[in-house]
Amino acid sequence: MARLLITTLAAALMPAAARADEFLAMPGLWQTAYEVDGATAGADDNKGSAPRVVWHCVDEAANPWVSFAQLQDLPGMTCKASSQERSSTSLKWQTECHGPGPEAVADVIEVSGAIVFDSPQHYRGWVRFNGTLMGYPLHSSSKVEGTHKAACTSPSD
Amino acid sequence: MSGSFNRNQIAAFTSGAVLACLSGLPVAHADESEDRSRSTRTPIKHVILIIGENRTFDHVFATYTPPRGQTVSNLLTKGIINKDGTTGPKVALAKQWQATDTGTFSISPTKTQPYSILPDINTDGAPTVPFAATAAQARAVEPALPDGDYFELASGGTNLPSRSVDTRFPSNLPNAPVDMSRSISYNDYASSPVHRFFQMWQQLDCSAKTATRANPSGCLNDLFPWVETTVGAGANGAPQPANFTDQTTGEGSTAMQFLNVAKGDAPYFTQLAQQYALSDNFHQSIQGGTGANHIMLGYGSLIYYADPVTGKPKTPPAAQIENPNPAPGTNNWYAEDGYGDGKTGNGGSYVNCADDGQPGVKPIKSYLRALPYKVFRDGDCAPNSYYLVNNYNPGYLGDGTPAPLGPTQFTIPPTQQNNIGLLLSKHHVSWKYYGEGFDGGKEDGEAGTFCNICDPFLYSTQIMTNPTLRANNQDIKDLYNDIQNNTLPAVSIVKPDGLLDGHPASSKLNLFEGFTQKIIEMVQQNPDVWSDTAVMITFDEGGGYYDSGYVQAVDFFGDGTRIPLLVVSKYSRGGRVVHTYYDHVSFDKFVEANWNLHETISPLGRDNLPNPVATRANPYVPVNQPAIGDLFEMFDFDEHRHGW
Repeated sequence: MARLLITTLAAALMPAAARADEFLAMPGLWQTAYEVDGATAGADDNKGSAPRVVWHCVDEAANPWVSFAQLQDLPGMTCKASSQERSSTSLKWQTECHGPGPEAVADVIEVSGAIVFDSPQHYRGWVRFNGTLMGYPLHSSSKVEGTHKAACTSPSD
Repeated sequence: MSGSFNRNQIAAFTSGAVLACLSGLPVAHADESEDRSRSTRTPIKHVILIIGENRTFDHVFATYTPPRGQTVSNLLTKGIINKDGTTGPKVALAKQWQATDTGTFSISPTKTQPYSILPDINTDGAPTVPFAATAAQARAVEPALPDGDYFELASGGTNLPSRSVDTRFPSNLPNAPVDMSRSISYNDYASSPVHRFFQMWQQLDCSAKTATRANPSGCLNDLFPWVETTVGAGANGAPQPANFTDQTTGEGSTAMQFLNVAKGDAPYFTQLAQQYALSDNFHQSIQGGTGANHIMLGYGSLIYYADPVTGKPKTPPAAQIENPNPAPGTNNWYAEDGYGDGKTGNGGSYVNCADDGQPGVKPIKSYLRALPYKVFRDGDCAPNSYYLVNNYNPGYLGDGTPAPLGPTQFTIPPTQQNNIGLLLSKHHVSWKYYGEGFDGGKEDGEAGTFCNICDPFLYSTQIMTNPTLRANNQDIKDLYNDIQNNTLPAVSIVKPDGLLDGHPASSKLNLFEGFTQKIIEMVQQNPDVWSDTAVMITFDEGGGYYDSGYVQAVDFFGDGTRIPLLVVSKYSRGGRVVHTYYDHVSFDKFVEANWNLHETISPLGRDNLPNPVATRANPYVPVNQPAIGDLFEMFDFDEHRHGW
């Protein structure tokens, strides 16, 4: 059976004495919706479209950066965090991604984002992309909303 | 057979004609709209099954001594250990071996040598600090403990890093079961051994070549630490880590740990055993973990990957199919097992066991076919059906929303296979599943510790798309209300949250004892309820802990090791120890018999198996196997002369 997200429960119980690694988010199945605000390069199709929805499990002892900031590399690019700030209820990050090829011509995209939890089951925030993609300017911004929908099993069950 | 119980008497009583003569109750053919919840063959009108997590019989009752006149099969009575937990004169019976498996998966790999000393025990995921700073803070989140027990949630951390050698236990452990009480207190958290399908088959080391009259399944139970340290809880689609050692999987020899009731461990369960009825031959029904064992309880068989619309068997994503064959160049590091990273979907928990060409299937099927008896339905594997043998999320969220599916979701599509809830509803017998933390379907109660994979009915299309049936999924406070208000259904299944379920690492057995005690005391405080209610306490599986008991190979999926079963009722007094062979589906058989259903869940289910016939010389091994009992031996109705 599921082990617990120690940090979650501890945070719920002990907000005044929260350790640095505690994070107020409930383990389980999360639905994350991304709603594009605008785009100037190759993303016009996204304007006015329904939010993109992603489902994922957050298991016990999860790293909130991995579970909620989703800092994976963009396709074909290598990314490196340039700044990260967190509290028990928020994450804020900035990442720089470099495309393949010589530095002078390679695409560079700066990804920034922030989310704030108003409860262990819900957060809102934003993600922005600024830079060049295949040599064209890219400026895109999305609203992000995450909602805990159910429990979820995990590798440690 | 157990002491005063007479199987032939019960068999006679449970025939409809005799019942009609004796009780005057309508046998069947009741008005279809009639609530038949009180039409029972015995005085038991309500059964409450409480399911904890991950403890074998020997792990809990290793040193249990029953009341005078009763016998028990445990580590103490076999001479494997002494009452003080030290090694006994027959410790060699529990000797653990190293082995090699570098070609294809084997359930009885070539053994190389016994361990001279056991690998060090590892902390794995046992918490460094407890879950709450104070008892009051724990109480604010957790409603299901007796008032005096909340300190247990605020104490017992390891004070050690996770996935490190657990220095609370000595190094140089002898090749023997490990008495936990010599190193840590009963209130301390400890780590959790592996408990997955193919791993558990290997732990038991079963071969027809080693079958004997006393042990016709030929399982030797002697590869527990080897499986823990070679593959552990699964490869999760990843290659074997570099510099692999016997600590890499994070377990070491955790599987060999046992609690010592003779030194005061598990005091409440010991008290219940002394006062009521204990089975020392009740088994987890599936080799593997939580989800599959709860599914077997609910369905009488496993469920398979299905088209969510038609319910017909379908092939799952390739990377979700189990492949326990060792990865090249490794000793027993499974190729596909566990969970991937959520992007690739690698992992594997489905098995098409009707196809001998599928990974891992032939070694088990060959073993089953070589046994000196015929197993159930040649293994009980329907063609082209990929059975879920480990933990994947159920097809519905608690509010009835279909769960998201796809190759990166570890979720089995909804099933249309029949289950005990549907069977009871068909026969107008009331039932509920009380899952702590369910919170009206939001599954977010008690800090998100609801166990979704434990609720067999969250997998069912017929239940989750029917608002009336879906409402039978409830929370722990609903159980308390139903006990106090005399509104219990006939059949109740109760699951604690992850804090209190007794699962090692994330919980402790004393917490599950407290959860159980609160319910039993509530039942006993209401005379109307106590007069006709049986409370059964068991576990989903043994968690991967060593057990010395006989294991019956019933079909492709199990059985697995013994787990405790206690039955508490007015009709189960005296501290009897019952030796009849049972597994989880015995509960379904009890329900079907007690409520006169005259029908099984499906033709494929283990509830079609006969009751065991055994000799006095060896009551643990059915001579008519495969066979599982219906739990009637856990009661003594004759003594009370109530309504038979």
